[in-house]
Amino acid sequence: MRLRPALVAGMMVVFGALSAAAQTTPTSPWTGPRTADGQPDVQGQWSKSWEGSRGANFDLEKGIHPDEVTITGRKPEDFPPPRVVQTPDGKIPYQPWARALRAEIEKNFFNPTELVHIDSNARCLQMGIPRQSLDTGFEIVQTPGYLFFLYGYNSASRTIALDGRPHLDDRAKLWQGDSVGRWEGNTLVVSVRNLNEHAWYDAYGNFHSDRLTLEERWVFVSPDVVHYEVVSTDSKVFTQPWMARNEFTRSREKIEQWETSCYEGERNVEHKLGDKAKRP
Amino acid sequence: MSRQTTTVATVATVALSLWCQAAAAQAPLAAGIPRTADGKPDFNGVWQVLNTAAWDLQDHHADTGVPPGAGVVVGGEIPYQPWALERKKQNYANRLTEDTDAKCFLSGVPRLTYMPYPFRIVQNSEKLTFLHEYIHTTRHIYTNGTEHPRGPIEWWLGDSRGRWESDTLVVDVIHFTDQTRFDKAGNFHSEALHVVERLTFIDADHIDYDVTIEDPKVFRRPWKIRMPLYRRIESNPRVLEYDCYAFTDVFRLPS
Repeated sequence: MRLRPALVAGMMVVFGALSAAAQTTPTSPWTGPRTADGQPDVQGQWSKSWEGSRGANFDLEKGIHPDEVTITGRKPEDFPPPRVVQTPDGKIPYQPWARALRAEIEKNFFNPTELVHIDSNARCLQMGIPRQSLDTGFEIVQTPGYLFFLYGYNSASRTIALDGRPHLDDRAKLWQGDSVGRWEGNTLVVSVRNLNEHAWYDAYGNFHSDRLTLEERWVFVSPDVVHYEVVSTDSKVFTQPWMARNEFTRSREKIEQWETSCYEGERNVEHKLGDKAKRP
Repeated sequence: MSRQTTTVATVATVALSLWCQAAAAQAPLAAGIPRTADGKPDFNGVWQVLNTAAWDLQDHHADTGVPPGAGVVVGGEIPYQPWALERKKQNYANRLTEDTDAKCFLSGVPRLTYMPYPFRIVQNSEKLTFLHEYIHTTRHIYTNGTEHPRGPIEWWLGDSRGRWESDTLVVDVIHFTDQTRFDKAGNFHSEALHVVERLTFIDADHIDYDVTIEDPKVFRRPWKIRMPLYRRIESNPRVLEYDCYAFTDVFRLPS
């Protein structure tokens, strides 16, 4: 359950390079119960809890859902301020060409003419990481050498190998990426590679390329509260690494995840595109 | 269904049930298999079938894109009612457009188990979760003594409740839709499908997967399929993603 030293050093560099606005939660020793193989036992149902942590179902930079503004008639400034993106101005540090493309996507979002204008998740494609981690609650299950996130929604899941295995070759791209992690005290540190360029950060077109790499810290500050901090590095799209965060709380309730098939009944594409709708 | 058919079906069910119980009673506690902390057989790991059941449950020769194979139906025959045999032939004719695999829809149970893709079993004392490479499907089998939720419910994968009979995991599955099929050859069922799966270690790397299929609307009697599940024994086995409806018209950056 050890990452290669080079990888650990890389993570330290990445977190060290963050701007002053990104306050990371320090790692502490874990004093709670442990699983049979010695991991901090963090199994159970977790839900998004941070006040103002409007996640990836909203525009990550604006913290609002444009439809919500229209429907409620409330002004954008009446909504809780966005708090997920941890940069001084709350903006994702896009390179100029990428900021222009982002604006273009935003425009098409409300008048889609092609499938690629529609939020991939609205088409039942997988959210990808980190969107999945920023947006929805989950169940954690741990077995020796592994930690699993089970999302219920769209049958999605995520496997974190804790055995220090090397990542897949860079040419293999996945929606959820390839995750290798290790425990440091109360913190699950995860390196994510092999992400594709198809998934967005949110429902409104904040994007990355397939060069994106993630360093995640899941800091279990108490047995029932976790701070999630994820640093994105993508030399093709961003000017510098940047951090996003969220918080989740564990419920002691036992909840069963019932089937949420999605694609089998998906009609968003034909509603949005009408006659132009075509199945991939 | 006529009274005579019902009687035959009932006798067959009882006989099958007795056969299964006898088989379970005779099975000694296996040595040399992995076990969890609470002493149950430990199915954690990555598994996959090595057969052609996903194309056709029965003996079949090759066709374009169809590998040939010996069947997995115990006794070879699927006991369709006469009307249903006609429907199976229609299904075969429209298989390239109407089968779930052609539409990238969830495959149902037990078909998901014998799709030609690996799956990971994640097991704890509450449940076993199957994480399938095929369309990133998650299936939960609760082993915590809970009952099926009250229906009517029609789920693509049904509702799975398991119990341990000695070293065998017995899974009872109900609440199906009539939208899934058993294979690409058009073998099918109705929403009244009732599946009982029995998973027993043969040795540490092989599981005997024995499935009883019952559907009084479609079949004359219960019938069985049986096959081994093979552990993927390479180091660091991974279950990746086969999201079959996500290969085209996805967001791409300008090159």
